[in-house]
Amino acid sequence: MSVTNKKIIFTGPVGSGKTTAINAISDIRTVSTDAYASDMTQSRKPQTTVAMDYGLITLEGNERIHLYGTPGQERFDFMWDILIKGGIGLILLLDNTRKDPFQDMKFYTHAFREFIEQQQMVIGVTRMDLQRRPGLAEYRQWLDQLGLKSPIFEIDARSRNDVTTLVQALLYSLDPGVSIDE
Amino acid sequence: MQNEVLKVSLLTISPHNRAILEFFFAGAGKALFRITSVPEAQAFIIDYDHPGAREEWENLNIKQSTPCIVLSIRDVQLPNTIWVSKPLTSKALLDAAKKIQAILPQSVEVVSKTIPTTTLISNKPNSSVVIETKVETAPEPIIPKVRQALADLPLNVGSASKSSPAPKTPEDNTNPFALRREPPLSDTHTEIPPFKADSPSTLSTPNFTNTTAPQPTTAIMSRSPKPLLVPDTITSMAEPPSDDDPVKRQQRWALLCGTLPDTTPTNIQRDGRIFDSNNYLLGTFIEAVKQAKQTGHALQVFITHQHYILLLPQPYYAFSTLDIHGAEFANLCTTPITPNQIHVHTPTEAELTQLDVYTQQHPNHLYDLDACIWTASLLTSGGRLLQGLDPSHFYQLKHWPNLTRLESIPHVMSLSAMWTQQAATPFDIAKQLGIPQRYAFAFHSATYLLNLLERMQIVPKPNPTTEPKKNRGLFSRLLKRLLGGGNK
Repeated sequence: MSVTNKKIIFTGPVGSGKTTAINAISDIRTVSTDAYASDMTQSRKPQTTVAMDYGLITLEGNERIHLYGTPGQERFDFMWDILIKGGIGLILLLDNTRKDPFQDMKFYTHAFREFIEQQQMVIGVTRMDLQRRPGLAEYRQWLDQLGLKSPIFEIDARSRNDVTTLVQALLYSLDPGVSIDE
Repeated sequence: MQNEVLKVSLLTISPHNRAILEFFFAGAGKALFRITSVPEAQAFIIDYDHPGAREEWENLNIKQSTPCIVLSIRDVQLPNTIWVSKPLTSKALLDAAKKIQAILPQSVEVVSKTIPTTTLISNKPNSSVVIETKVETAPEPIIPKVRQALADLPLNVGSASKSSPAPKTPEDNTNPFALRREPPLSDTHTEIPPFKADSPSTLSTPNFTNTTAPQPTTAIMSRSPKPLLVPDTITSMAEPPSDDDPVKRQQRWALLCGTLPDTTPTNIQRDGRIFDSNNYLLGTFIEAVKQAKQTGHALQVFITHQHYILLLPQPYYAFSTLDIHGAEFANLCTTPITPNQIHVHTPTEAELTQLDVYTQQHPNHLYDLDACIWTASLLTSGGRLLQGLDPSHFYQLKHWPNLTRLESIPHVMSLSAMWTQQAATPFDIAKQLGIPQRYAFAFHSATYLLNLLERMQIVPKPNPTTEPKKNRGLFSRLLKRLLGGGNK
């Protein structure tokens, strides 16, 4: 019996909540390749993902949705092209407490531009409870500036509901006619 | 004149106060402060009223004894800290810097600067160029010295010890990420600050003859620091209610989107599928939101004699003394208003200070401002379209609504996706998705009032986006799985 494998990619800067978000919806304990940070990442968290995170959602009938988290540090960007192959969509997480979230948005949407044009992207802004500004209105203006119409939500990466909403938005963006009753 | 620069690290600080500090550091405080990382800091600055700040300070204070400038509206007496009262002033910050310098050991970095006359230190005019920076090597560990200095400190900061911390407020034990439920304010409205509902209105009373759709609010937000004390964030903000109970969920959806059957474009007026927001609380509320956003000032909308919604455009909150997910608020939204029923009041500085304290004591009545607009719009719409928006015109979503923080309604995902990808009339969208019109109409009204929906001037080409896509079956099974209905 054949196995269907699909991928959803989570990306974003260091500490934006990729590992946590994958963990929130994965059926398995997330496989992470964390190491103690030796660079500026230290100031944001002691450990960071150096290769990728991996989670899995198993559906009936041997269908698997693989959840991949890219390493946040830019020097691992060679991994990104490998990870996105065969992906059905991108979830970009942005940390609202970082110095310049707009630069982060620009950087990641530029890095994944081709993939976003072919598939779809959904953005989750984390840590808005710790810092309210910039607000979603600003993020929407930035998306306009970048010529993107991706869904963007305030999320708590620990919340299964919030991460589920991101994935739902991704699926509906890919196919607005999809229904739970199919 | 030689002048010691204090290397400070900013800990948890509200964006509002951070903006003030950055402005100060770039100007009058330039010669006295330098922002640095936590390990290098000689002192910290923390906004003690900000959620999570107390925990952060307690954790840091255990690990290291770096002194701290504590910003707070209340008198904070903690060991190893200098309290600076909010609203912040240059003088208070300069004084605090001097006090911190006094308790530090010999400076590890000395910067010689000539200071402009405006910085209160030098009397040499027109001499604002940095001349020299000198860094001494291998500074001694400062913690023992700081401790000793603190013991000798002639300031009123050492009275409390770690074993006897300052009295804790109710927020002290709040997990900054946890939601906390408190009794509805409607049960305790005697605590409501005594602002009278019959205060002179700053907005015109609703115009019952106005038949045009209200203009959506714009995203204009004032950036200038002002003495608004309400914090920029309160982590335990109210969230949309859980929809675990299917019966309650259906009842709520019936309230939000109505139960009206479908109609036709020609019969829409006859069948009562159009509503004028000016006949309801919604009209005044939206006008007040618009004004609050444009001016950047808080406004208090008295929705009854006892209850109000405080609009806080800067941190983008609405504080409602009534639970917006409750029956009383729903009743208020769906009942046409009487003349002079709704009052809008601009709080004075003194009132704002009281309201600030009150909102912090009742964080569960704080809502995201968009969530408040969304719920009020849906309740008022009840599955009807806004008057003034021609249902035969084409509309398109500029952006998705923030669905993680808004009350859910049926088909909201497919409506968002479809209406983002193509322009369509409300009738066409309902038909394409095969859903009752009331959901499309309610969504149309609410997203328009959130300024997310725009009318398109050019008739678009049809976009067959509902045609089954390659992975529709898989996506459906994944959706079912994520929403709890599918098997592993």
